[in-house]
Amino acid sequence: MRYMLSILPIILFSLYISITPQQLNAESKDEPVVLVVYSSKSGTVDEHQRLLDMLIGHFTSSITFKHTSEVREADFEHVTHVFYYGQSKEHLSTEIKQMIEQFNGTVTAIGFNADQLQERFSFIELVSEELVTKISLRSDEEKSVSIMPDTILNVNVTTGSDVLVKGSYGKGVEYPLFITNGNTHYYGTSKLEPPFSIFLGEVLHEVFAMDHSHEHPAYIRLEDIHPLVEPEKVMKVAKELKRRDIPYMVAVIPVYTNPDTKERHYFKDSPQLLKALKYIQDNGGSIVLHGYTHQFRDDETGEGFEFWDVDHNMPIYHGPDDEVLIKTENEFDTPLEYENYLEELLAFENEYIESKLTRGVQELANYGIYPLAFEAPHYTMSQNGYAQTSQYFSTYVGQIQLSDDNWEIMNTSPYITTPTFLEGMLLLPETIGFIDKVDPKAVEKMIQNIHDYSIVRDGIIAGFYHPFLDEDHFEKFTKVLDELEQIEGLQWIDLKQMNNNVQVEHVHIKSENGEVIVDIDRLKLFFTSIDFLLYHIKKVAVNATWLMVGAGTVAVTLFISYIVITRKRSRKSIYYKRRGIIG
Amino acid sequence: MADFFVYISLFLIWTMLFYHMFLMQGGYWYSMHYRKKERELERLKTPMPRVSILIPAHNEEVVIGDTLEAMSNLNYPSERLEVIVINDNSNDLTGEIAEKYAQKYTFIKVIHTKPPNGGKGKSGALNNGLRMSTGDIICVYDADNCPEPDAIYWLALALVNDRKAGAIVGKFRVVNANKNLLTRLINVETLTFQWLAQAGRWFWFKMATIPGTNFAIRRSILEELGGWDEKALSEDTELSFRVYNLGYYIRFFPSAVTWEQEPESIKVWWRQRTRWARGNIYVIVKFILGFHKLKSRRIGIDLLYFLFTYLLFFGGVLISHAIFIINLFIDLNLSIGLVSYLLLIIGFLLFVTEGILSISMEKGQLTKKNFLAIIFMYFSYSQMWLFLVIYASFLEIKRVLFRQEVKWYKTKRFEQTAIPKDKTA
Repeated sequence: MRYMLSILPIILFSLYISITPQQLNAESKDEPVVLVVYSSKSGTVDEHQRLLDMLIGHFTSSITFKHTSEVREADFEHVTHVFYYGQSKEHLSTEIKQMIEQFNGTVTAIGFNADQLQERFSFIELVSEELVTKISLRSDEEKSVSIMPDTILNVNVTTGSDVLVKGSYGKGVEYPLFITNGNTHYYGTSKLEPPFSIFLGEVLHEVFAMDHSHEHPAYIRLEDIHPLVEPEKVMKVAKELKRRDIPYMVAVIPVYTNPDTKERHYFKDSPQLLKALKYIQDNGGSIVLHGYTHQFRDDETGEGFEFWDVDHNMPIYHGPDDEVLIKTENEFDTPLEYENYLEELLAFENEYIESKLTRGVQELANYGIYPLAFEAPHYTMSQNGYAQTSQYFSTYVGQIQLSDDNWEIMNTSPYITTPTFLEGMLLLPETIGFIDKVDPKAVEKMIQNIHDYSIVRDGIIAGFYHPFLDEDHFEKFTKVLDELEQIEGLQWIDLKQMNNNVQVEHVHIKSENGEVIVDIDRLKLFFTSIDFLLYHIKKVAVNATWLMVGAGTVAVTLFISYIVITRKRSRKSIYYKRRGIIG
Repeated sequence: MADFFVYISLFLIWTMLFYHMFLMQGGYWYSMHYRKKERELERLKTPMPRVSILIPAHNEEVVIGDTLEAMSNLNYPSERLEVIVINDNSNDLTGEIAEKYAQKYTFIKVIHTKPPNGGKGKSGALNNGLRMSTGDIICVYDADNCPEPDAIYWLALALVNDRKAGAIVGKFRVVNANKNLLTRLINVETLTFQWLAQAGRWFWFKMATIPGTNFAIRRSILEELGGWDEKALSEDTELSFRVYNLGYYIRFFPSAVTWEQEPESIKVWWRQRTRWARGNIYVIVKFILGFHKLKSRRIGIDLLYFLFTYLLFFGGVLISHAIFIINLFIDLNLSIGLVSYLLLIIGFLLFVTEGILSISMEKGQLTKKNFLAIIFMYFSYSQMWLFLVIYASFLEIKRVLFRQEVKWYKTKRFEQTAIPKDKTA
């Protein structure tokens, strides 16, 4: 029974055009169905395929990955777009070649081995591998990015084909990079990380024949707001953003852990900061949960990793104080035992994530702060972690760790996307970086990134700032804002205008059309932890003390005035004495 | 955790302060218009009822003469008045002095009681007096009291014209207020008690507590109740509760004024107050245990008030003091901050303004000396109350545990050298 339901709609004053790209509607009928056939040494989906997943995820959420060793004829059924991703060199079997070449729909080959698909890809002829230092769009030479020398596959192109992207080395030496011929396309590199992803991302609009509106969704995220951050500094940035009419996000960490004393600090201990967060929430800001403690073991909040054991470079499969033993398959008698072992590890991780996210959302919601999205601390999380997170959050913000073996393999997408590995979560990627206090060129780098990502017609321009930095950094930050405001077609993302869903035990938060709708089962929440109730009791207590001050002051004032009145009266009054009763 | 105690103590203390603010407001309004009642009563021209004044006296040779002198000056038809001195087991000249007055004035009578019937304390003496008395209205005065000539007139007139009133309570003033600092402080306290607690409660709830002296009560009620509770150390509070329980109210009528002596030494004060505090604790326990049997729920207000004063407010102050002291030595990391200082200041200002307002209602009391006394009182006299409650609770617990007999300590009297010129209220 829902005993206490409270619905607290927060109505916002800002009326930004909602960023809900039509291509992100997974339900739409004519959504492309994509099959990715890939050649790779590992034989399983890894960071390379996930980069492609992010790029294609912008156009459809229906993507299937098949290694060349496992792809079957049946996999091509109902598929509208086939991608062949030659991430490593491989001799393609005749069957594979046939399946791809005879496919009716659109075929895009990326990287190696496309030359083996001779029939369909007769418009290219592999010549050599060449170094390039610049990539640009053929349609607009201005839209180019200079890179460190890197190799691409140089091909000869027959007439009748269009070169959409080219690479160049120095002046005058140009190589075709993305070539299109009817419904067959070729991208001459297996590299899918930026800046290559920027150009592929742009031309994929042609591959899918979706000309998305040429607007750049953008966001600024205020990062690492934990209970010990100075509220004044946060307010200063919040006011600046409000002054500029910029909606923004705030990444909030509910608990600060002091690495030396192990002491934990909560937002309830910092009412001024809570007030600032509420101000933010009501004045253009949206809350993003940035972990619960942003640390593991004895690390400091904001410095530590929470969903990744960075000491062992592995997912959280153990408690902070447990001895870490990583068993290999050889140590098990049967494959089944090994499988069970792996399942146990994942179950541990799932429970860990569930408890952290649940507590994080519950705690914030109890304060009246409603997170609409999630961002993993340091962007680190395992694939299983993302899947688990998708059960609680519909939107993920930031970059993505792409490998389960090394947290450092992380990347971003040039636009908003729903890659399959996020299990339904919408990714609002961070692309332009942040004001790095140790980098004197931080602003220049950010500005460069802003321009790079505006090459994509709907490229997202998103970065973050630590509001607790000093005045100098704040000025740098405003410079970036100035730059951003100059970008043509920039559309600030207002999370509240989007459909977000956050659901943990006893708390359901959703946003739509600028409203945040909250459904909290308070009674059950209070039963979850007495702290939740105590917070409210204390809040009432604090308010009551001020009420006491007010009432007491009124009484003192009244009594003083009575004293004055009584004195005046007694001076005027004629001494009253009753007369004449016989004793 | 420390935070928790800070808030608990604040709320306990401030609940009390709010109640006092509320009462003070009522008391102020009542002070503005009670004189109207005098004119109203006089217009009625009711025949004066027969009044018996009971004066229990145990070794009161120092003061009984003045008291009876005042009795002889009462503006009341002497044929309807009897003054009964209950010379209760005195071993001084009380009896002789009283007899002298009895010879001189026909309406003054003396009864001498000895154990086993006498010497059992004030309640016992009053019950003995009651048996001898003939009046329809019984008035009680302590042996150190000098009522103003009109006191009985107003008490009787107010009671006879108010069917719903079970008793009428007059006002008492301190005759030796300027004697020393202690009596000055007691003077402020009694005025505050009467204008804040008595007048305030009468204004809002039609309640007042019968003090030990200067009140009139219907004989019929006393008979119905079987007289005074001889086990009660504060027979007055106890009696008040039983009167409410019969469905009557008790009117506070400040027109009837008596002047009484207050302890001039800390030792005497301490013993007197210990008796009162123990008496109140006795009453709380007696009536809380039997609360379900009570007919008048109005008592609940007073009972709650007492309970609050002796348990919760007291506890709140203790916690607050404890936190204050501990925090001097150990940083308790209290989160309350500024507001606690404001509350401290406002609490103090309330104390001061309520005190000043109360004394300003009496002619000539708002003096610089009294003003300074009130400020001093907050830090001294009021704090002593804490120790008093602890001591009294200790004695009561001991009494219950060891089934001790209550012993009635009679307040020591002091000889008055000069009687103040202006004794009018």
